[in-house]
Amino acid sequence: MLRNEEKEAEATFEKYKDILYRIAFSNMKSKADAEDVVQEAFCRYLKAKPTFDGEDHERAWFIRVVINICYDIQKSAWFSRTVAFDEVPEREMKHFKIPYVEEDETVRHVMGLPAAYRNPLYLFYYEDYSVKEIARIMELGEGTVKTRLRRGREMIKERILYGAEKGQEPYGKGEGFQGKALKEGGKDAD
Amino acid sequence: MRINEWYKNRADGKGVGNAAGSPNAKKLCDISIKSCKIKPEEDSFLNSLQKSMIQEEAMKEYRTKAEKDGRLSPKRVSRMEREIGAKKAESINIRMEGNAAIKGAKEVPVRKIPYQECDMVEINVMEGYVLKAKREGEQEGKQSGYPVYIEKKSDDGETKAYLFDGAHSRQDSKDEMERMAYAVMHSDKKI
Repeated sequence: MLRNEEKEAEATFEKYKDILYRIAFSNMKSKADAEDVVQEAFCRYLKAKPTFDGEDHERAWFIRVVINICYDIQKSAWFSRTVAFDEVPEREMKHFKIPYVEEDETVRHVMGLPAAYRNPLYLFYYEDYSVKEIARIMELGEGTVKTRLRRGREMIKERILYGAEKGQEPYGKGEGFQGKALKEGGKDAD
Repeated sequence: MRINEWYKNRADGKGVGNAAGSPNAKKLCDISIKSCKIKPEEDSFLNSLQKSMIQEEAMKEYRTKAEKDGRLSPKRVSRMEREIGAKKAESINIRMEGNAAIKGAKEVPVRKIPYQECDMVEINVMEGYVLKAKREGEQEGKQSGYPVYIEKKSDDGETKAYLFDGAHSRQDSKDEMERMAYAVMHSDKKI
């Protein structure tokens, strides 16, 4: 009996580990942290033993859990003191590979966005999720997701056109209400 | 009291029930017919509106004709020039150029193909869309080449899909989907 459960858990892990790692990496910008997040997500899965309506539901649950764990870590005092949010270290980027898609600089800009914008943009462009699916995964309205996609795109444009300093200004190091809310991925961002 | 009377009284300095009115008020009869004339700028606006309506009509006709024939030909454009005047045809030509790519394609139901099944994926974060392309099998009984399925997913939540004839798509087209169809057709990857 235990063997069967182990096998099932292993199969689930194999099925989702890659996509969950990529999502965790896009948030944490570090291989080690991303792996920790994925591990934690599976621990929660084994502990909660949730039941799902189907594969889509299961995948959405995992993604949601991974994003929440990332938010929790990023909110912690230790993380904010020790890790620079908006930068993706060059040495870490070699641990990040998106399948089927030609990578360019834009993915780094997406990773540099505040969490509220980063996750919808990453899921939409690099994991091929629709607005509806993202809304369901992130427990947001479809309109909110569309707004975040549009604003995130504008931020990236600004960052590319006017350089990192100006582009980072509105969502910089926790300055101001908006920056703080967005950094925490809060729903009040809109 | 009738409204006209009331206006008259008001202009005469009488209010309701012969009370004091507004002495500076203008009588309706004082308003000259000249002031009702359409101003030149309004006139030009109407003119341009009329012109664009005529052009729209002509364009509709042209479209139906072109659709009947199956494609847009330069002969037809020149005939249009004769029929509706060079200027109109010129403007239509510009508009048709923009629509030509979509017209050359056939809109099909969205299949939502995943990235791994695509022959080419183009992510354009700056413009807010993703293009997915997949070459289809050979068309039965046609020598025209392979159709290319292109799916465009925009960040406004809209997803549209078109079927392009890869052999006839242009590399220098203004439409990104047609350019992609061309790229997919001429990529090394074989079906």
